[in-house]
Amino acid sequence: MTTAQSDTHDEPSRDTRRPRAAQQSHSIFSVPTPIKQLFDRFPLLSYPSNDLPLRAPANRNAHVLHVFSTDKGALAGAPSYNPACLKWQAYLKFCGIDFKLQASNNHASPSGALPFLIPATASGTSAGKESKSLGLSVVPSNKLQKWGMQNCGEGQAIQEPGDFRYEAYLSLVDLNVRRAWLYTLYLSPNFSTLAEPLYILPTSTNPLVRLSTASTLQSAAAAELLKTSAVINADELHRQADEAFAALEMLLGDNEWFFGAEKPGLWDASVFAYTHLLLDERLSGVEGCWVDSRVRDLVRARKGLVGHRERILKGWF
Amino acid sequence: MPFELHIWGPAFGLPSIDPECAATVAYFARIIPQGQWTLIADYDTSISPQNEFPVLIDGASKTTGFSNIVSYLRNHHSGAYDLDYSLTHEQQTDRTAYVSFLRSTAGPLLDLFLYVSSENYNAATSSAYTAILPWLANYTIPPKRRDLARARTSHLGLSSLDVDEATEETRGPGSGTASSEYEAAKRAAGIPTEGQPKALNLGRRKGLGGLLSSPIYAARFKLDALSSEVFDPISDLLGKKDYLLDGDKPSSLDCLAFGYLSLMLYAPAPQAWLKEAIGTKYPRILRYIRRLRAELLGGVEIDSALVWSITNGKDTETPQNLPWQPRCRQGLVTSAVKAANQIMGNMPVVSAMVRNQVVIQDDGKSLISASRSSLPSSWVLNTIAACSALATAGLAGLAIHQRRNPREGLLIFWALRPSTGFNAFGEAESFLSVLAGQMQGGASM
Repeated sequence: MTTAQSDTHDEPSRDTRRPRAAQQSHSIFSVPTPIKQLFDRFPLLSYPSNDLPLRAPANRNAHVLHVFSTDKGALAGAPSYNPACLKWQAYLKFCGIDFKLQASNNHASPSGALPFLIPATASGTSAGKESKSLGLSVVPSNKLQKWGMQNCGEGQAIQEPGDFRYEAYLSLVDLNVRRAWLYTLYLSPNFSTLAEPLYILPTSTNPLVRLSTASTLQSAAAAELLKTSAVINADELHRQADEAFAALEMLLGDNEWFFGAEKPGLWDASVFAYTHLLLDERLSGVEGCWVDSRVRDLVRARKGLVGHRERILKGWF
Repeated sequence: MPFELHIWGPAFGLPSIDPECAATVAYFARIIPQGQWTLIADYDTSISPQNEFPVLIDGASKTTGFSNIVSYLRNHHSGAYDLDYSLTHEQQTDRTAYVSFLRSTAGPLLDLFLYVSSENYNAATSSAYTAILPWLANYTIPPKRRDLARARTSHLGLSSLDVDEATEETRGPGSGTASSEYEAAKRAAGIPTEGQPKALNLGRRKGLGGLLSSPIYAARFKLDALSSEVFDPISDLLGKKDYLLDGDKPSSLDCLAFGYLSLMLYAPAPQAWLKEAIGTKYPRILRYIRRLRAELLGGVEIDSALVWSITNGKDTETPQNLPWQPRCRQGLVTSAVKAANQIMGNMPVVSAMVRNQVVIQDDGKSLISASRSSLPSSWVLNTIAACSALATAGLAGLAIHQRRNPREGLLIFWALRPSTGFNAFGEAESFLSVLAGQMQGGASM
């Protein structure tokens, strides 16, 4: 025995070793029979699938527009308190599109900014190819106009007026009015009565987190204003806003809608987004939330713009 | 007493490197008679209440900004210096709209062209600033204005223009050696180097698609779209008229348009995409700017070096068609303090600590009683900060004390020593006591 062993040990031939190695690897990598039998019996029990989380999109058969809003306001379809969101909310209403609102925040948006729209899955056949990769097709705010054109009813499509002054007057809203809005909401005393209950208190219950959110928000607004001027001068901002409102009122003239259109369009929506919020005396849900009403008074003095806002509010909200 | 207009100094043969300043100069040259105004190429914005140029100083009152200066002249001098008096009400409204249109669209475009595009900035803008600033301010003012331009254009997503092309060449292996510098010099001189046979850049590696997707060309498509967003509405407004609003007379809007468009057209930038766009697609705008330049400023090339010597009071002889005046000399101490402030503001760490709060000017704010905020007030915050500072100081003191008076001998935590030996593993883990025995044996050995 021992001699035989030592013989094989002394003269190791490859022929004898290989099958042994193969056998060894077989025994290492193959599953032992009892364990295999055990695992063949799995799953022992399969549980029913979990319910969707409560916050999962519930209305998949309706278009859902995600905006800054309160839960109550979203259910009632009330105007959003954010100008950018309100603009698109109004525009989609003008298009005659039926949609639901969902209170949301920036973190929910794929692009990082509200509003965005999740189309109903039933009508999303054309967008089906995209949605395969994404799991869900999402319309960000810069594509909402195109989407609205494609999805509105027959004869409801809104033709934007081809006036050559369109861009110039739009810059009044985007520059002058927006800057005054940013100042009056975030940097004036209105901050504690308007921006706080609307934007800051819902984000967290921790007072320190709230405080840091508030200061981030204020410094972001200040940085935005400092892009076009070296200091933030309230009088100048208000004067520019007043000029803009005067120009808009002049542009509206006696027409019902801007540029003499037959029905309101994106232009009316962008003006309404600011005039409505400035004229809404219960913006934060409480009477007297406008502590600093200087910009608000500028709009209130413009009867044409006030009438324009009333018409939209009555007709579509 | 004549009006005193302070602006950023001249550049590219134009009255100012800043569009609003150039527009203001054009306005003044058009309507205010010679001798009633002086022009000062300045660089110290602290004389302005809003920390910006242009500033109009009329006696005790100071006015900042093109629009404000125009409305100041309209309101305070009984309409004598108003270019817009003949405009109809509707045209006045259009003027307001187009002024804000130019600011919001042509402004960012000019920012991209002069400041963000690193090639243009290095070749044209920074050298133009060198001609109008004292040497020290060259290290602070142009970078600051470039950062501002970057902030203004960040939403356009064109920061790829900001790539320093030099890095591409010098980052190769063996850069910085004498031979690579020699090769680079030869390349720059146009002599073919034996190092790398460059037949055509359109190699297999890149192809036409690769060439078009290189940052400068990819940006080019976007830039063309942006520039047509600016020029199309202006071209529509101009139509076949001579001026933007009124048919036969320039208005304040023409002056502002001249300020923005002339810088786009006349800046000798290596990447002259704006100039090409105006030249090829908008010949009417091209003729319009040339005509405005001849009418408003007499079509003279302004020599920055000459103006610089006038500003410093060295040359008062040479006649100019604009009333350039020397800037009043400051005392050595004030200028030293200002220089120190500027340097402090630009140091990376120091500026963060020294930087003062954002300036908000609001006279009406104090009249409004601040309402109660539901956020923690500042005294709560201060209390928390004080408490944590106290706790930190206490711990630090303790640590220093320990360090100073170290305990003699070994520190033994008696409480942690097992009192009942290794049987303390409990019944379930009683087999571990074997291990414990080994450990004990090992320890005793």
